[in-house]
Amino acid sequence: MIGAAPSPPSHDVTATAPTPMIELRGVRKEFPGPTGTPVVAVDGVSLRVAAGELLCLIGTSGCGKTTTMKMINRLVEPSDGEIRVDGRDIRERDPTVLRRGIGYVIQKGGLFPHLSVAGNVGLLCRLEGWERARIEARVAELLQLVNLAQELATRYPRELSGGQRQRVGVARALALDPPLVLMDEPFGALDPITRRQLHAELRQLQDRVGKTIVLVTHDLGEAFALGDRVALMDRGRIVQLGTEADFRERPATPFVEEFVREHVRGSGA
Amino acid sequence: MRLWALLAVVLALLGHGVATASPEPPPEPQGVLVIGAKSFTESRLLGEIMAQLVEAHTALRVERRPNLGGTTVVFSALRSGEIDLYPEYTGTGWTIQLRHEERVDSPLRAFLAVQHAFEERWDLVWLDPFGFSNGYTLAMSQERAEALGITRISQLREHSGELRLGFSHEFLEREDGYPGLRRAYDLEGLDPRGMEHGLAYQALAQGEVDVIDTYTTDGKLERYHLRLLEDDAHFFPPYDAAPLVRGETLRAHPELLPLLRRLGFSLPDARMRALNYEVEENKRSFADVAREFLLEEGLLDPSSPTTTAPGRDQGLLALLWSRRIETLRLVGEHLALTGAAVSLAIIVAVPLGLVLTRRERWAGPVIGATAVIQTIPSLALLAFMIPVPGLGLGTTSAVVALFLYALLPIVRNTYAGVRGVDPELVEAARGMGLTDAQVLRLVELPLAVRTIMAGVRTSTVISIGVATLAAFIGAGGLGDPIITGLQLDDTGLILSGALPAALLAVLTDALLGGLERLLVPRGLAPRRSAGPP
Ligand SMILES: Nc1ncnc2c1ncn2[C@@H]1O[C@H](COP(=O)(O)OP(=O)(O)O)[C@@H](O)[C@H]1O
Ligand SMILES: [Mg+2]
Repeated sequence: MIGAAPSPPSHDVTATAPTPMIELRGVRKEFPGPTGTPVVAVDGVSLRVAAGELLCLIGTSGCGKTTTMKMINRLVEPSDGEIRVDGRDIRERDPTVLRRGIGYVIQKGGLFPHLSVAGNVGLLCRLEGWERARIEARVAELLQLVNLAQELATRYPRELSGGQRQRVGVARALALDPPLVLMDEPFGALDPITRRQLHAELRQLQDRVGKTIVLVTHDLGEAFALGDRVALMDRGRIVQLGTEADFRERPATPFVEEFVREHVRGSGA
Repeated sequence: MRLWALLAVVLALLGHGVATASPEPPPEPQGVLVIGAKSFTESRLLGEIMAQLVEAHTALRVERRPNLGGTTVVFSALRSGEIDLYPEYTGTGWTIQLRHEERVDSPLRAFLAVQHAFEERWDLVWLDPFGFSNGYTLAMSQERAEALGITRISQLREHSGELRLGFSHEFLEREDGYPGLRRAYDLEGLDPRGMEHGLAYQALAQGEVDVIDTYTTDGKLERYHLRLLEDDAHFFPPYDAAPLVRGETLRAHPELLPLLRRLGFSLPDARMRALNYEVEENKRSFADVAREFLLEEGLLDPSSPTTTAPGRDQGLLALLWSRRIETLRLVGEHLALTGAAVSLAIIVAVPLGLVLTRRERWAGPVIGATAVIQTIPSLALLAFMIPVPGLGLGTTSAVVALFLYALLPIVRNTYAGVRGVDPELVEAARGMGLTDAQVLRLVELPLAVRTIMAGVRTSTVISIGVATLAAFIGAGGLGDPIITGLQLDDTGLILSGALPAALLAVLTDALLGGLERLLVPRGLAPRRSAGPP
């Protein structure tokens, strides 16, 4: 179950450990609200994700998961706090360069409808100025990695099933072999059978490529199945960060206990 | 870089269009005399008579601008030096150019007044009058006038319930036309509608209207049996025609003054009406009728070369066939006009639309401004261009006006097309590490291309239509035969311009549709409707 890297002992952010892949310290995000009073989307989040770890962010809709994730690749700039990726403060990095080193997968894949599968998967390679033959080889390699038939390379997104699209989205995110991948509800739009199949594939993939992955979900069963650790968010804060066993045996608050009881039963896992 | 190359091509095209529309000036600049005329038979005939006279007796090369629309257009062309002279009427000078509100009753006083004022104010010279007065008058069919017992304008008021009035647009607008007439005769109860003068006689003959405005020398008066109503309150001012010439031109070519004076008082009312009739009803060419008149007057040597045009009385197909070379040339002019205007519009409007997607606050005002341009009537917009320095009469003004018209659909569709791209895709692209420019080029533009092309198609079809009006300001194109045909009530001639114009619009739209299919990325679902929205 557990990936290549050892998971840190607890959610205590002050604990010393080898340089984490991602580190958030007291990160806050306010959006200007409709009435003038600011909406606090993320309220003082601190966490570390070790290299090779798969961390699941979970919580009810609107609790700040997506915002937290988008701050890591600078799609959203924090109002306060500090974020480090691979030990470097991301404010000092050019956003484009930073993002090319971070894979990004969104719900329904976010594929470009005007590009073929190969066009989508090889887009970043093209922009990096790779030669044609190298791009083709890389696309073939990635399609194989995500269990897609090579014939699909010339298809367009609207000619694919939901599960195929999601696989293409993952392949696209891995194109430049980034050490870190962000996934925002990647399986949210899929039927339960396809979803479970992709879960298994993602675990295998993770074992093979050893990426650091942050995956947002609102399905606790998915979080327990995939995550080395799980961070449960509520109203912009992390209320508990730990393994499945921590959540089941040592819920931090009554809210956590309730959440686990409701959602594990609800998702049928 | 590629954008600049494209701009260079368009500018070259534009320059080419200008060069072909107005032939290059000859080596010596004093060698050309540009003679204008308003867009109706009599004015054009007088212009042609003066042109042939000058050609026969001087070394000047004469350039004809016979289709210059109404008074505003031709007069601003004269003042800006685009043309050297044109035939004008004293009544028009009195009320339109000099803006006199009070009436002038004596023809001589009117002539002396405009002669003095024009010279003083604008250095424009009224030469000796041609000898006829082409005043406004109202006309009814004999039978209808008989039945109602109407002979004088003052009687119209008594029949206000049963009379339908069809007046030309200019007559409805002019102070010395209907507005003044209504006050002078207290015609409040009548409700005239505006119509093209060339169509008014037919409407009268078919009983669709009862009263029309016309001119005392109108050739059609010879054919239709009409009763001219007596102006018993002496409202209509005198309309003696005379050459109106730039003082500069007369000083540069002193030989013109005695020459044009030889036309003085050579054309009494009946003679002028007969000449108009020859063109309008007997379908003879302006050149023919002008030459015959000059020969009869002994102003032309019978051995001088003629430029006789073929007779105009022929079947539609024969006419279209006989005009094929001319039509091709006009199609070329038409395409050059619209091509230059739409290309410029694309070069300006697509980037502008893109900027607006980045500066949302400007979007409303800028798109609103281009929309306001579209509400300006085409002819008015064309006329606005003439006094602008560097534009004047001809192709450049027409291209600028068409360009302004073409902006809205392209700006609006570019903006809407890019705005309509799924924001999730844009965010996915940014999140992957595409730069802003790459997002625009690789994601937003390809996904917006169909909408942008729909705007281009709309603009092109509009431009091809509006370009038929460009002939009014001397820019040529397929509007030339349409305008002339309207004046001469010559359906064949109208169709020889209108049919190719319509065909051109359909073909161009189909061609752009093909281009659109090439440009729209294969992965996008085929479009549902065939035409632009
Ligand atoms: N761009 C934004 N502008 C204003 N409010 C936002 C914006 N993005 C998110 N929010 C608000 O921040 C809160 C957290 O949103 P989000 O991070 O998307 O939640 P989750 O992904 O957990 O469902 C929500 O209340 C949401 O309405
Ligand atoms: Mg979310």
